[in-house]
Amino acid sequence: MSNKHGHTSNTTVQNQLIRWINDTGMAEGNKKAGLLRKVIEVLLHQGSQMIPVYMENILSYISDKNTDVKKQVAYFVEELSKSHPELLPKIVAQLRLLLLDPVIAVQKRAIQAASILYRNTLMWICKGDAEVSEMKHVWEHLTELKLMVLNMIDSENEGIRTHSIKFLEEVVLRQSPGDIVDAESSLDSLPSDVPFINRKALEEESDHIFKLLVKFHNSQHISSVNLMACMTTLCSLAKFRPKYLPRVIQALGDLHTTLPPTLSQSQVNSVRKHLKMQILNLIKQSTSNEMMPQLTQLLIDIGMTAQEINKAVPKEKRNKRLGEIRNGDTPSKRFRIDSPQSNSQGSDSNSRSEFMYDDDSQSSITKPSATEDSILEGLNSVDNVVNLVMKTLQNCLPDNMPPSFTNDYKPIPNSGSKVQKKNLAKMLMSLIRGESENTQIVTQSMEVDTQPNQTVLQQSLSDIAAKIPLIREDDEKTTLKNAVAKLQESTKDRQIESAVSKLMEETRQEHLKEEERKAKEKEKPVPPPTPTVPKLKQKVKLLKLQEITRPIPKEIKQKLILQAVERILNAEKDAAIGGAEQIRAKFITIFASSYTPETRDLVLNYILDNPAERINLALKWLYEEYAFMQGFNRHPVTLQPKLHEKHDQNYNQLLCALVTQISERGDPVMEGCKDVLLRKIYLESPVITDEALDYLKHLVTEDQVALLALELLEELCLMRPPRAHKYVTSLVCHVLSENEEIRDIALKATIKVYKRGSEAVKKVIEKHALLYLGFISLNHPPPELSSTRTRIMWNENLHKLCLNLVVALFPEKEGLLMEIARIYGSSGAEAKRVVLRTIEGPIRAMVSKDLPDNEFDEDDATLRPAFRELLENCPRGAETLLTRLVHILTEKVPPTAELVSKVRDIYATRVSDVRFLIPVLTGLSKREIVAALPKLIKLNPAVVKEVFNKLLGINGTYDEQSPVSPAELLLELHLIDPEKADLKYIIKATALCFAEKNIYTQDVLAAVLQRLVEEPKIPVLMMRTVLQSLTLYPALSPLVMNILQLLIEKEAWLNKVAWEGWIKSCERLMPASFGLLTSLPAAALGGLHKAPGLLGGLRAHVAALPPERRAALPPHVAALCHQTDTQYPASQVTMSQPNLIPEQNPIEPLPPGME
Amino acid sequence: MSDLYVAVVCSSNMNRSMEAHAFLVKKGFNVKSYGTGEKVKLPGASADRPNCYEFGVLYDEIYNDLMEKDKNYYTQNGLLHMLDRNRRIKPCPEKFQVCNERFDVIITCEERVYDQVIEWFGSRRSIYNQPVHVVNIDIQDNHEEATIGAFLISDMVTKMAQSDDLDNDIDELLHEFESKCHRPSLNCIMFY
Repeated sequence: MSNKHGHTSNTTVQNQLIRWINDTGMAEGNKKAGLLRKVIEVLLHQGSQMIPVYMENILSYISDKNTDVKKQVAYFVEELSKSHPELLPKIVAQLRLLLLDPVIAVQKRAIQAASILYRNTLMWICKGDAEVSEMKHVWEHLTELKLMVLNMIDSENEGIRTHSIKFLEEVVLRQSPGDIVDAESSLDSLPSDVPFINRKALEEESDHIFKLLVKFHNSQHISSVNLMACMTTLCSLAKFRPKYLPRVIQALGDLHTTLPPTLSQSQVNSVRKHLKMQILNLIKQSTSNEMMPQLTQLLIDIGMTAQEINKAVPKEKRNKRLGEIRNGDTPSKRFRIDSPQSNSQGSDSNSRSEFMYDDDSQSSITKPSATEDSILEGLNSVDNVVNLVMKTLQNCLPDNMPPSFTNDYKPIPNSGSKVQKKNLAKMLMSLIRGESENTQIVTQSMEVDTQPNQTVLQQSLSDIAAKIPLIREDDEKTTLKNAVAKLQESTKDRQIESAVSKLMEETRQEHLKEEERKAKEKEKPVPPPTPTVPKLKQKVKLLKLQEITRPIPKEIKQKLILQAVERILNAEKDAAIGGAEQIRAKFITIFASSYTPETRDLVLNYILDNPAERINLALKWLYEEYAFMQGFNRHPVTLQPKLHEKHDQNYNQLLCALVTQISERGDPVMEGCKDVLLRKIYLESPVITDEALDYLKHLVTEDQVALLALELLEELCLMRPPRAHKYVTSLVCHVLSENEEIRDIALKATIKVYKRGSEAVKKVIEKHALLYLGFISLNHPPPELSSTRTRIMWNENLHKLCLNLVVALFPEKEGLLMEIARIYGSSGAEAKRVVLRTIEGPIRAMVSKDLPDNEFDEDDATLRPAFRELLENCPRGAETLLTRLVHILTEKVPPTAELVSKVRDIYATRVSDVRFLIPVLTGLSKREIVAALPKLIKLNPAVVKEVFNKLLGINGTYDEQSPVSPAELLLELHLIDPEKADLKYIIKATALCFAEKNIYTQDVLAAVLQRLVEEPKIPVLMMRTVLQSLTLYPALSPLVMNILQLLIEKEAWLNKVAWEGWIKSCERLMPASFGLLTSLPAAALGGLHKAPGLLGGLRAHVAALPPERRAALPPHVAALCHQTDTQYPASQVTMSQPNLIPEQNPIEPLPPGME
Repeated sequence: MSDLYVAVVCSSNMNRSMEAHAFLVKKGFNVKSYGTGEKVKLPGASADRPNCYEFGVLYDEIYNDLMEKDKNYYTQNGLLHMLDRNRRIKPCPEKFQVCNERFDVIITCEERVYDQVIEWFGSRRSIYNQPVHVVNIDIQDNHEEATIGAFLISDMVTKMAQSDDLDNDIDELLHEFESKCHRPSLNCIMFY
């Protein structure tokens, strides 16, 4: 049943296997690897009997593309070697292929598999149940494998090196005689009857490899990971093969004193930590008992305290160890006594590796004066040290410092400390020892040929070689290379022993040469103590440029750089021909911008030699500098940062150097194209620095280039809007120039820039305009206005200078009016006059600009905002300016309602001067005009005339309806309260009216008179006006008669002035007026005495009356007429006067009663 | 994500290693976590009386035990929350020294733990000759630092996974890590 079951399950497994194997063939990548893994697992664990059948299927994937697949194959080989060692002959060759795989991961896996395989092969051979030929076949392959891996310790890949170390550990372990515990997998277990295996040779080989590992471990440039791997390997070897323990301890001690210099701080920490761990691990081993003092000493050196160590040490060892420390036994002594020689296995070769140790310790015993401790003691005495140094200085120093010294010398970090002294003692000791060995070697080398026991000697020599402290690296390298080569050779010859002896011979020769060389080089008893003794170095090392080259001195480097740049500069034509122009330019810009100041100068001079053609290069350079300045570019780290601390300085300096050199060099070649060059530089540079701008500003003052400079400034402002506000200041300042041409150009350019510029630019220009405007309010002209230092006084020209910009700007920005007004208000009289004169033109221009609009839409015509603002917030002192403005506004057009209302407000609140109202008179209401009349007529006659012209519509340029009619005006003049205005002014005003005969026609006057007589109170001037009207228009006499009649009814005689006028009128109207006279009451008649002519006339009239009419006369009239004639002697003479006087001066008669 | 096999090791396999474990699993890494201590130690009611358990006792059991002891207190100090998180990830704390796995990278959270790991490697003979990188990052044993530490570890493992040849790159990688995080690290290579 079970058999059957087993059979069926086997079939299933087989089917499954076949399917998977097929699938594997079809699959790709990771899936393939997965399937293969399954196949391998099943095959190994379930279907081991099928392995021989399907093995080939799997091994064939060795050439697969996929890394994981190949790793699986390696795994398969590894497993097979363990579970089916009988198959080893078939698989061992495959591993070789894997080792040669180009993929590093596969190689590593193969090395790993190789170490396992190696172990298993040895065990398989030990069992010895296979055929000798098969075993031999496998063994040969294995030896090749070993050599391959041995070579791999040279690999550039860290991981491969790590794996190789582990492999070598395995090899050393297997090829060395083990102790009782580990007998199974050591050399001892190998059957002695296998013909192709020479145990002695194998042991020698392992010993050699061990030495390689120690060298590798102590090499200067080992990486931290490899170092630690190597440390672990060494310790592990020391653990399982106690014979290596002393050498391992020494290697660890050496490592502690001189860690590889390439490690970083944290790597150093890791390494030290690892060192400590490994030593602690060693301490715990029972095999280390003999070396306890060395180990504890090492731990103390590392920095562990006695307590810590005590804690770490197994209890059973403790007391012993402590006792030893107290005894203060010298390590060298321990060395000798504890030498593993005592437990050697008895084979000849076994003791060889310890030979040197014995020798060393013996020498230190035979020469007690030269132990490490005694040297240390000696070093504690200052005198000794001084003597030593002095001796060395006198006798032993070479004339020149050897180059190796400068290379190797490092300052001593912990000089004077105990540790350093100890190290120093150790180094001295090793030197002294080396000395003694030297002599020994010489003698031995002479004996080489005759010596019967060659091997022993050679071995000892190779040990010496391994211990020589000052072997140079390249020498070592050859040694290793040779070693590997020899080993390879030996496999070919299958004469390992002879190969080893050859190798030893080789090493010896090398060493002897080296010794000779050294002996020649320095023949001194005690070499100067160097701070670090270069360690025995790992023979395989990659060349590192840093190590094999020496830095070129800085000066030479700089010189070379300069020369190189110069050559590139001189290759202008060649580059152009070769089509490398662009690249050359790029190079040059990089040199110039990134290298030393000397390079900069070189390139700059090159450009300035022929700027017309090299201007593009200059610009490229500028851009490069700009890129650095802005941080778009970064300087490569290799360049000295010191030079680049001032990126912006570089750019600025270059720009300034270019412009100044080009404009000032005075080179005739350059003169011609100066304009073009300057223009190009200024317009095409990425940015114009302040200094460059200042220079341009300065150029304006230079005669030849002034116009160019101005033009450039203008173009800069226009073409580089983002920074125009910076550039424009340099332009604006020239509007104050004393040179008229420059001034005009600057002014025009400024306005142009202003029109096109951004807000910022406008702001700057306005600021300057206002600044200059502000000058006029100063007591003295500011220094900006004079080129010389001398104080100048204001004059009209200077005022105008200050105003020109603001006036020019005014059409563009009316808002400036307000500012002008403000400054105007605080300025002196002279300045005010200049302002009024200069501003008039622009304002007028502006007003006239508005006119076309008004034609269409007169009603909606509004004030310009600037004007409105000024009207609303007129600054103190600027009222005259305001008046002028209003005048100009009303010159061509009638005042708008808005303007009138503003003016009215201002008049009411601020400006009491009635003249202010004049421009808008026609816009005011009648009542206002009437209210203002008393003030108006008091003004200068010419102004009064103008007012009346306005009111009466005389000379009006536009059609306007005066709010007061001529008749009303005259009437209102009469009604002016004499308290408010002197009669004199009113008379003058009325006279103006009468002069306008076209307006004040008979009808108008008649209407006026009619209205006057209707006034409840007789106006003062009424009778004067009556008389004057009568003079002008005699046809008015009936109306006048009527008026006189009405006045009688008003009892005009009670008003003295009016009555006098009345009488005068009567005189004028004789004889028609007699009728009126006769109707006068008695009270009124008294006044007639003052007019004798009239009285006489009356009497004559009464006398001529028919009696019946005479009888009807009132008695007082009759009485008057009967008075004596003598009372009126001059009646005839005065009769003619009223006719004469009005003729002569009709316009200016004095009012009655006023003479 | 990558076939890198990672172990995160702390003392008790409770806080630091589990935090990182959770984090790395979320990121898709092939990861395990361990403790190296003698026992699983958790803070108790007072500093001198910690709660000790054997490795292998389930997180769930520890959770219930603490809950019984003082639910409030252990909720307050976050232990219950942590245990709850842990039992969702794996059943029980595991001791590093008894595991049979072979990792590519072992990350330790404390120098003492690093020492113990190295010591363990030193105590045995390598059979497979398979290398493993042991890296130590010091992380204090509290919740906040554990979270930060998990970030750092995840960062480092991500970088390691991205490397084509970790053996070759590890020096540089760790150097970068140190200069970036300003935390010292220890590392070495051991063999299974």
